[in-house]
Parts: sequence; structure tokens; C-alpha cells
Amino acid sequence: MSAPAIVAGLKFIGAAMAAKTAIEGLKEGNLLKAVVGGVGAYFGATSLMSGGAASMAGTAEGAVSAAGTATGAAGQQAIKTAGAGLAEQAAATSTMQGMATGGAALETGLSNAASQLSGNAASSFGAGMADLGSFAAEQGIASGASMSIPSASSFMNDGLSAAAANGLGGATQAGSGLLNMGASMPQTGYQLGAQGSGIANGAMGAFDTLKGYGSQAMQWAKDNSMMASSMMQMGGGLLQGMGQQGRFDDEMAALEAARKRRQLTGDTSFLRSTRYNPNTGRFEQVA
Amino acid sequence: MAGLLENAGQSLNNEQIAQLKQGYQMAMQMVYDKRIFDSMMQDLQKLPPEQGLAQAIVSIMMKVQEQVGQLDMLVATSLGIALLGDVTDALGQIGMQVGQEQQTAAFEVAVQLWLAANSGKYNQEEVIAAVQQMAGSQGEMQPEQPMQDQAMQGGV
Repeated sequence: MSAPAIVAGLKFIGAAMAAKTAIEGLKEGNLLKAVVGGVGAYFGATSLMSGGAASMAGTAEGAVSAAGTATGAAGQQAIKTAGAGLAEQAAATSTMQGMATGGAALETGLSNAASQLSGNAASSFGAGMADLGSFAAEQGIASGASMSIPSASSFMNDGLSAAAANGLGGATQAGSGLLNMGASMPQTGYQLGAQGSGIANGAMGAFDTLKGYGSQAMQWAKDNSMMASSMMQMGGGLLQGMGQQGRFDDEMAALEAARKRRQLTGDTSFLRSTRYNPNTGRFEQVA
Repeated sequence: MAGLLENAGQSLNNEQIAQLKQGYQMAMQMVYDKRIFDSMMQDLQKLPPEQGLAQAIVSIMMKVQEQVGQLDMLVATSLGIALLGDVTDALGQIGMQVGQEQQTAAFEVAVQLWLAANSGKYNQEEVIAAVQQMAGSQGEMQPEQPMQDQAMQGGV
């Protein structure tokens, strides 16, 4: 980057910072973590919605490449967080899978994935993804994603119903299928295909069922407005967070309650009612 | 906080800086224009603070993008961070206090919203490169204060 560009950049930053410093109390690590978490959740959600293992692999590969950015103690902490989060998810998955055939294979796969992630720099991406469940619950993201709730809960419910109707063992297996979707990302990304092959047929059936709903979800997102689409992605992030099974039922109940409370959200009419006038350099109300 | 933006700013070329500057000026007009402000605050009061803050930031940025053209991820992130304080302050003026942890949470939501709103416009490599630039600057910036401490203290 040229010197003038740097100088110009610093000038801008100075001006921006002088405007308001309400954020000065924020810790940069947290803000960076928010960026990483948002990016990780978005691309993770996208992969889940499309149900494509290939794109999951791409996401995980991206995480691996991003691992190079984790430096020193920060990187170590990210690794620890990612490892711990995935281990927790593995444990939760194991519990759920106890009622499904072949659950042990997935447990092994997840445990290995967590282990490998601990050994390989999972970077901030991993941390952001792994934290998402507790983060959503603690920080209000779950309730914040109110517009996603109808989609998230309805697809979840549909998935459960479909699993039961197909004789796949009911809700537990459908839940396992959801976890499998999340779990397959680190497995694929870290080339743990061998462990992935151990996923039971029953669980894969639920996975396929949910893939269908994922496709419908994507179509729904295309057919609806920008905000609906964006909230859809956030719903996917929530599904990942719900891998921590201990909170699953409570989360679903809370999401439904929040959805009812906040049906009147997403009004951005103030933006539609204004237009930029290059002559005056200002935004003006549209008649 | 200035450090994160400052380091991000050093990665921008002249065109990106011009875009960021113009975008920021436009955004400030929206945040501080009374009519727009009143309308925006009316809407945001219906939302939880985190979502309201995130939605306000992304909505403003979408409007900016309409005028200045596609924002690359690093510019968008920098602009979002720059807006975070102003919009938080604006919300505070109507009695909608947003704490630091809520701001952090809101920004994560904002990142997701932004990416979703620009679905297909960013590829993963570009987004990751932007994060790498910011994360890299973070590591260079605070070698004596590990990020894990900050993360733990922040409780996010």
C-alpha cells in the first residue's frame, strides 16, 4: 500500500473516531470475535441450508486457511475454545445418538474431529462457531433473531414430523440428523472422511430429509425480501447453536414465545422513504 | 478501538478509502438527520437492542451501498464499526441503552445480516481475507495483551 493511501486512511479513521466514541469501551478482541463469529455463523448457516457437503468442506477449508491468522496466545485460545466447544457438541450428540443406530460411530467421529481441531489451529472461525449456542442464549442473539424464528422452528418441526413419519425413530433421530449436519463440516474440512463414513444409515436418512427442507428453505429465502432472507441465515446459525442439546427444548420454547412477541419487526421504511440527492449531498424524503 | 480500524484502514487502497469516507459521510447524514432519525428510532424501539442496533447499522450501510457502489468486505466492516458508536449513541438518546456486551452481540448479528443481504456478492475467500487482515493487525497490535484475556473479560 502506498504511503499516501496510508495517510489518507489514517485521516479518515481519525475523523470517524472523533465523531463518536461510544464504542471505545469495547474490547477489540470482542469486536473482532464478533466479526469472525458473524462470518462463521453466516457461512455455516449457508452450508447447512443447502445441505451440501462440498460447500461445508469449502467453509472448513476456509477456516483452516484463516487459522494462519491466529497469532500467539490469541490463536491458542481460539483453538482451546473450538476444541472445547466441539467436544461439548460431541458429548451432546453422543447422548442423542444413544437412541439411534450407529450413534457410536458418529460420536467417535466427532470426538476425533474435536481432537484434531485441538491439534490444528481452528482459529477464530472455529471459536465463533463453537460458541454460537451459548452466545445466542447469553447475549440475546436467539431472541434477537426473531424474524428467523418462524422459519427455524417450522423447519425443525417439519423435520421432526417427517422423521417420525418415515419410521426413522422419531424426534431423537431427527435431532441427531441436525447435529450431523453441523458435525459434518469439521469432519469434512479436516479430512476426516473415514470417520464420517461411520454415520449410521438411520441418521443419514434424517440428514437427507432435512436436506430437502434445507433446499426449500433456500427457495423460500429467494422468494422473500432481503430481511427475510437474512433472518433465514440467522436461523441456520441458531440451529448450529442448538447442538448443545441440554438447551434445545428450552430454546425452542423461548424462540416460539419470542416470535409471537415480535411479529412486528424489521420495519425499515425510513430507508425506503428517503433518496440521496447528489445536488444537495443529502438524503431527502421521497414525496 | 481506533487500533482495529486504524490497522484495517492501512490495508485499504485509495479507492477504498474514498469509498469509505463517502460512505461514512452519507451514513452520518442519515443517523443525524432529524426526520430520518425520528423515523429510524420509531422503528427500532420495537426491537430488542441487539437486533435494533444491528438492523440500523446494516440498513444504513445498504443505503450507502446503493449510492457508492459495492462495498468490499473490509470497507464494509470498517464502516460498520465506525457506525456502531454513533447508532448506539442515537439509541441512547431515546432511552434505549445498549451495553458493551450487547454492542458486541449486535455487531455479530450485523455481520450476518450484511452478508445475507449481500448474498452472492462476496465469496468466502474475500471475506476470510478481510478477517485475516483485521485479525492479523490485532496480533501485531497487542502482543503483550493476549486476546484470550479480552475475550474472557468480555464474556461474549
